[in-house]
Amino acid sequence: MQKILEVKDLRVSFHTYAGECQAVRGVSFHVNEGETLAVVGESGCGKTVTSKAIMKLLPEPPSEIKEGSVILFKDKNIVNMKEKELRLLRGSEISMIFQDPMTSLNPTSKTGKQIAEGLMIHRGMNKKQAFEEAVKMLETVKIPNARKRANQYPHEFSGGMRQRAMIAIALACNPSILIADEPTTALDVTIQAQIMDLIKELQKKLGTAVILVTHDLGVVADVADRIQVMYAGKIVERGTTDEIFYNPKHPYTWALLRSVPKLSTKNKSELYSLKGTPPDLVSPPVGCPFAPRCEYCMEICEEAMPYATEITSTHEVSCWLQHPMAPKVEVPNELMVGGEINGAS
Amino acid sequence: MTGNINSSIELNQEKFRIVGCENLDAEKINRKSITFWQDVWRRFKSNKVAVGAALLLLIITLLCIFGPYISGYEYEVIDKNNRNVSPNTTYWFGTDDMGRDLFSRVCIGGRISIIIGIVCTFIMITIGILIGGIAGYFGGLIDDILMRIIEIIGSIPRLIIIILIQILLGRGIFQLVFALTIVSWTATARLVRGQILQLKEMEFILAEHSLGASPSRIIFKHLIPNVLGVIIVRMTFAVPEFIFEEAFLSFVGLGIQPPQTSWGALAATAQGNLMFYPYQLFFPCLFISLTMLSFNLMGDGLNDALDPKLRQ
Amino acid sequence: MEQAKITAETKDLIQVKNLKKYFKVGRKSILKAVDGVSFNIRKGETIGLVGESGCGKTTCGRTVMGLYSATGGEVVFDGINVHKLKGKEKKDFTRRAQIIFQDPYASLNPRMTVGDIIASGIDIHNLYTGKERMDRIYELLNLVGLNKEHASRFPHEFSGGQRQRIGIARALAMEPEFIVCDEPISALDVSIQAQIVNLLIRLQYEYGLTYLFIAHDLSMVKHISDRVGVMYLGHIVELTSSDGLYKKPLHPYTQALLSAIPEPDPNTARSTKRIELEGEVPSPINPKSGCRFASRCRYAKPECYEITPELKEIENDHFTACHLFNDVK
Repeated sequence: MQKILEVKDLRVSFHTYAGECQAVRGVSFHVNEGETLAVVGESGCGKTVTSKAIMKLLPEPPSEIKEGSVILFKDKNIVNMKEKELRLLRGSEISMIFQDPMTSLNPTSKTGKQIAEGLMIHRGMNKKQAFEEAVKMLETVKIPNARKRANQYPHEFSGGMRQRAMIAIALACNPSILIADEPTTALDVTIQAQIMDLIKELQKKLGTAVILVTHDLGVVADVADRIQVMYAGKIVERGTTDEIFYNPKHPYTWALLRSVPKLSTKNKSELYSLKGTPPDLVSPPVGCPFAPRCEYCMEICEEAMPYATEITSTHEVSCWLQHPMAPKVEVPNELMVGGEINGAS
Repeated sequence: MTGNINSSIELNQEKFRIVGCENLDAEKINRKSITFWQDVWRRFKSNKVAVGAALLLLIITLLCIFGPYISGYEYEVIDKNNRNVSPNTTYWFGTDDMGRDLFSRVCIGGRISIIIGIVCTFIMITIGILIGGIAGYFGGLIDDILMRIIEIIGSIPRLIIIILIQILLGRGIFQLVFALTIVSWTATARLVRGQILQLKEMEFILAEHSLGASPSRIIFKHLIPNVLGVIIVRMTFAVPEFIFEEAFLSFVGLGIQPPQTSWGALAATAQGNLMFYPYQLFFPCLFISLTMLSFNLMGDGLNDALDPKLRQ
Repeated sequence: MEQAKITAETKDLIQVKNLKKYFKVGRKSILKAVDGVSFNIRKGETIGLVGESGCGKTTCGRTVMGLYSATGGEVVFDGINVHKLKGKEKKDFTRRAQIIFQDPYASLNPRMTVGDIIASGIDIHNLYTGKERMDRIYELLNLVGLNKEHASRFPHEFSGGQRQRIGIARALAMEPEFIVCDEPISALDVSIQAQIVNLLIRLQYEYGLTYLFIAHDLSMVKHISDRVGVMYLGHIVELTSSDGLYKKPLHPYTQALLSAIPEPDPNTARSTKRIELEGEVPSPINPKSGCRFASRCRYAKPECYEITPELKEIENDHFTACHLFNDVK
């Protein structure tokens, strides 16, 4: 498979009153053509910062992409691109949809016009052609009465409808990569299901690669090809969806998997819960950042950062438990049980 | 990610014993605590232009207070031998057509101008908060009535009200302050009302209601502290507006009456001699402009510093 | 710790009878947020309310608390009509019933320290002063898993989960019997949600609290609740024990809600087909007569558009409002 995007040692910092907040601390990954990569982690883990850095959408200052970071898109380094090149890139080659569709749509412009704008800039269509294409896009994202809807303003749309319109804008110029930053977090469960199905379907149809950023592992199970788990500005584990769900290695991945609510658990029983909060990245810990919340924390974990261990060619984990000297730790019981029950039903 | 960063640490079996996270405090906050106002001050400080403006204002104020004592000339003493003297080492700003020291007069005039600016602002803000707060907090019919009153006041030309008041009550500094404030509080009231309406729907106000809080607690402990930022910014922009308005009224003869003086009044008298003694107009105008500019620049800085969206 | 079993015989703490809450929007339009809702909450029980945004669940919770005046119907709390309370009685009632809010960012005053926020109720009711007050603050912080040092800090220094716990401590300061949990976990990361749910369950055991738990996510509601009510556009469409709801959902809307819960297992997720709901929740402004769900229902019959179905007991303690079950029983 062809690598379409490659991120090497990405470091992003924010300058705050308390000092330099190292939001992303050396992240490397790639995206293949047409695949879905899910980036999973809690708020503040750097997943949104990473995805915005790819589009160079972070305001500088207060943010800063550190020297040595490389984001290769079709053999060009985005980090060094000029504003003019970036404008050509954004929307036509890489586009993004956000959590809150209302704030990312222009409230004073008709929805159809907003889709057409991108087409006119990037594909050189005239006004009429672009509008016709916009109507077609609205049909593609399954908005009923597309022609009528194209002449309406965003506030006349409901939440799910707006997210559909955002997707239409993002996909209008047929980009190679779509970055979806928590696209369903603000939506209701039934709408969330609709939107996720839509993204999945359109991806198959258009062959776009998708980077799906979310805090909920449950959402990505049937969408993602590969998953990478982020914590405190670092990738702690990555693998194919099956590897992450059926053979997770990092205690943090276990914790994320265990905290997905299941309908089958006994009522009012103690749910597994991850204690505490992620570390403040103004003064990141020397050791493994997850150590203060990890049940399996060892002395070494607080002293040194674990290095990445390869389990298979696609599966990689950064945890001291993988060290030959480390004690053997079984995957928590309920993960196995949960898998069986789910498998049976 | 490689192991070589950690090569200094010796790996042994001891280090690989599971100790768990029971003893570690994962709730600890490492950052030092910083209050809202500390944060505002930090951001204001980093705005060099605003700090410069604030310093300039301080200098102007000090000059107005102590200036007359430095120059050694009384502002109202007429010296027939030294009329219309150009600025020199004895008379720093020169003298006017009655031989009064212009430097002292500018300082004394500044006192009046700045005092009028500040007093009017305080009265205006107080009325504005009161009326706007009541309208916003209670809403409904009270809000409707107060808003109609504001609209009526707003629809009468200011100058007419000011002239009418001076005809009825005579001319003087108190009448002027009264006239200026009575027409200007409406904008502040609208601003405060809008803020209160927005805050009133916030969940922390609802939480207070559910705890059984009295209206006075909600207003003074929750609403006012949260609109304070906006009010401060409004105040810094209001002071120069009043100074300018006073100057304008004095200039057209509706404001300060002799022997009292202000920057506007000074400019008015100097206007007649503009062709021959332009410096007499220049100095009061310079001070008016500098004061206005500094207040506005400082206000901009405060506005940015107080904007919660710019918080990092 | 085990909780006393709650059965249908347990005494009711709260009875909600045909509760209505309308809002005027514009000159002629009426938003019927809650339109004739009846249920009871037994002592020591958790009743869940689920539904999509705009279904009126939050308004329902706030009206039950007495934060909003009711347009019609009544709420009886331990023999007291909540909406008839005046002055001091009303203030005293706030010590018995409390609320936890959804947005951990908007529900704490950004200008107050965490200690002062938690002590709000203590100050309003003059429960403690001086050292006793501080001790109480520390005790409450400890109860929700925070520590002493946090009292002097400001809300913006905390994470979402920590803030939500501060909100819980503020409500607990009043030693209430009843707490309305208004989507307390919706704004939090999945990994943090369990923290809050566990805390709420533990507090319920320790203090014998009664909860009205509002959420849009069925899986967590099902876990914490004894009974669950499903709301759709101001109506309760199904009300039953949480196990019953999960095992045998009757109303087509409940079935769709259950089916929309994301499946956290790739193999099952790939093989299962969801019941997909067409369209979105219609506007609650001037709603049409008939079953509110009819426009999106797979089984809609002509009568569904004409007559509003009543909430009826189909099986033991299992209520639903749907014409499909009219002939049953």
